[in-house]
Amino acid sequence: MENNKKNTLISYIVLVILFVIGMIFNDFIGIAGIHPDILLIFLIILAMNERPVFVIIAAFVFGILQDIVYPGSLHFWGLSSLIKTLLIYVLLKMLPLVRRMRGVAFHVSMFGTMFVYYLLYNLLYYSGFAKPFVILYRYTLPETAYTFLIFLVLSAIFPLYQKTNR
Amino acid sequence: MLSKLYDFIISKHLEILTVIFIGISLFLLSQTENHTVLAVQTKWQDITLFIKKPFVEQQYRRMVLDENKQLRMEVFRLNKEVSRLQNLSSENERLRELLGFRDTSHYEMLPALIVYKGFKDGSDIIMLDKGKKDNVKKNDIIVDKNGLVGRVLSAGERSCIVSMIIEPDVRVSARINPVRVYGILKWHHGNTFIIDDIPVSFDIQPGWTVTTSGLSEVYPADIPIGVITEVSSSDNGFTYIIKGDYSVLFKNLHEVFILSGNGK
Repeated sequence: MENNKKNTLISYIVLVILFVIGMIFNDFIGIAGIHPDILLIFLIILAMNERPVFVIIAAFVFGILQDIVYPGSLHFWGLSSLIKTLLIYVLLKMLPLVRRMRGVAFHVSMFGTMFVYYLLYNLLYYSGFAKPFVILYRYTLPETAYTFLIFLVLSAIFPLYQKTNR
Repeated sequence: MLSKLYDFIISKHLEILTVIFIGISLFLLSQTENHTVLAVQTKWQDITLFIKKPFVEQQYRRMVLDENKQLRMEVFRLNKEVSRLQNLSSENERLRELLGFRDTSHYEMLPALIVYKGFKDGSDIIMLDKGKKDNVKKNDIIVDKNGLVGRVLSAGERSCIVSMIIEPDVRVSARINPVRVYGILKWHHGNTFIIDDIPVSFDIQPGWTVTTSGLSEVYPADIPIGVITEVSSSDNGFTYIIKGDYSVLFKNLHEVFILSGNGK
């Protein structure tokens, strides 16, 4: 129990550091224009460990924070907070089911969560800019994969689903 | 009644919060140029600039060395062109004087480094390492060596936010050369633009250039925008739809120039 708390705290610290690095050196952590969403990982980990009210507030605040420090377009202030709030609400509602999952099933569900987030975000962000199929393979899948890879590394160092199966 | 409301709020607090947050997000989405958000973003850039700048400069240093070699060759070619144009310019000035015209355009060019290029591909704002301390102000024009990039949206002390002309809502008053036909240019997709409602009575050919018209209050005249690639008739048959490529490769922007004075 104590170990779990310590792991959670360390993963929070790591995520904060990654987020700050991302904010300052956004162009450096990107690969061919693809950037991971550290805040999304942060929110998923929060959803697993914290009270739902706290998580939904965090989802909104993180979304706003992302739109302010990672601006991409003048037209999409509020898009991150909208999609993050919606996604985290659905995730919180499905949490009892997610918490019963282990190993591959758990990670597939996390990949699915990230995929849905990027799909919704990119469909709105790139509407009129690229065709849906292009949005899927050029942006959604690579961004999901990159973000999931960081999530996977973090969950390998600080296991998440052990705690979810208490 | 009140206790029922209280129970409802307690039992549905997560849903209520979600709805409130979604409402605020939708409100923000409806605000294109929110000055408060712009001010916060500019302040953030000011604070983080001193950390970002050395890394960005280091990244561009290598690229600049390669570019320098090519530019030396280009300088030689342009020097020849300049001497030819100087002859034409002096002749033009003399003729304008004879006609009583006066050249009013006057720019100060300030080189600036792009310290932020947007969170995702297709971003239409960039942030530069120059601000009010360098006399940069709102609506100053941003160009690169190939042409028009955009305008300053908000200037902080040491950095500024620039809105590029590939933003879907931006319209630029443009002139098609050499026929001197005026039209409104807007972003189409990728690195392409579109100008519509040009009467078919004009003969317009692919390969012709498009520059700013000077009719706008923001953009001065004669800044290159792009080259026409396709001319087609609209459905009504009375006007052309003109498509073209921007001269500036917005995805590969590294260093730009800020034009102060705007030629006004």
